[in-house]
Amino acid sequence: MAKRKRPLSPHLHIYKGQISSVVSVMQRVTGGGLAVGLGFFVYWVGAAAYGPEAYATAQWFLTTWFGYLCLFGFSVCMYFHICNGIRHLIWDIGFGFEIHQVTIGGILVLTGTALFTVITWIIVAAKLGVF
Amino acid sequence: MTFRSALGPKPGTRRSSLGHARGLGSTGRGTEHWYWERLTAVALTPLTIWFIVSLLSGVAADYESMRAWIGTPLNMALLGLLAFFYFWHAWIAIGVVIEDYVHHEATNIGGLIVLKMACFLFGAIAIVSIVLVGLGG
Repeated sequence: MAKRKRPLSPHLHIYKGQISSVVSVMQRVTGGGLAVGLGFFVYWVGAAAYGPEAYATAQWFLTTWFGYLCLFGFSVCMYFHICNGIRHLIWDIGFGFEIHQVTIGGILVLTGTALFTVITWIIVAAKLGVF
Repeated sequence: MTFRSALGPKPGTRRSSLGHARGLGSTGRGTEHWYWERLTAVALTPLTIWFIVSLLSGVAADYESMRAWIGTPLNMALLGLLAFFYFWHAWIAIGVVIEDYVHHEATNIGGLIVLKMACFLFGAIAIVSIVLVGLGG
């Protein structure tokens, strides 16, 4: 189908990043990360069902540096997605549409993500006897 | 595909504007997937926090303790529900991403079908695995 050339609205490459837009895009990006995490989850419970040896292999893989890197990434994605998801649910019930509330909400999401991620991995490090 | 709702009630019928609008929209399914995306999110939030806290407390550190942990009815149910809602939410959300960004029609429809099949397959593997482990694997 031949398309008429019609004027385009301003596109991404001239769009100045704002906390509202960046956090919004990050919701999809972290969701994509969590889809990969879902694959890891299926592998992990599947290995558990196959027995002790398969489970030991899964545990070995998840505790290599690459495994930990993935788990760290999933934790960042999960905390961000939950925090921002709650922000979305608050919008859905009709609150927080003023621009300053959107900005404060975005800052809270980023702060919460950082805080929960750090707490989680401090606990992991403590369990592993790093301290 | 009909745009009748934009024109108001159809002349000569007693159907309300809402009756016409219901079930329309870009997907032809009204607000259904939007609603279930939110509902699964509400379910997943406490389930995920429970799952992370459990992992951090070391319930899955080795095979025996993991099996004992999944072996209780409450934990097996919660873990099964986590997998169920996780796949349901991913199904809707990845579907929306495909609908938004894949403009080639055949690839779009094919992608949505592959997505649904993959969600059924891997969701079934996850839930069956959880039940098997819980029953003593």
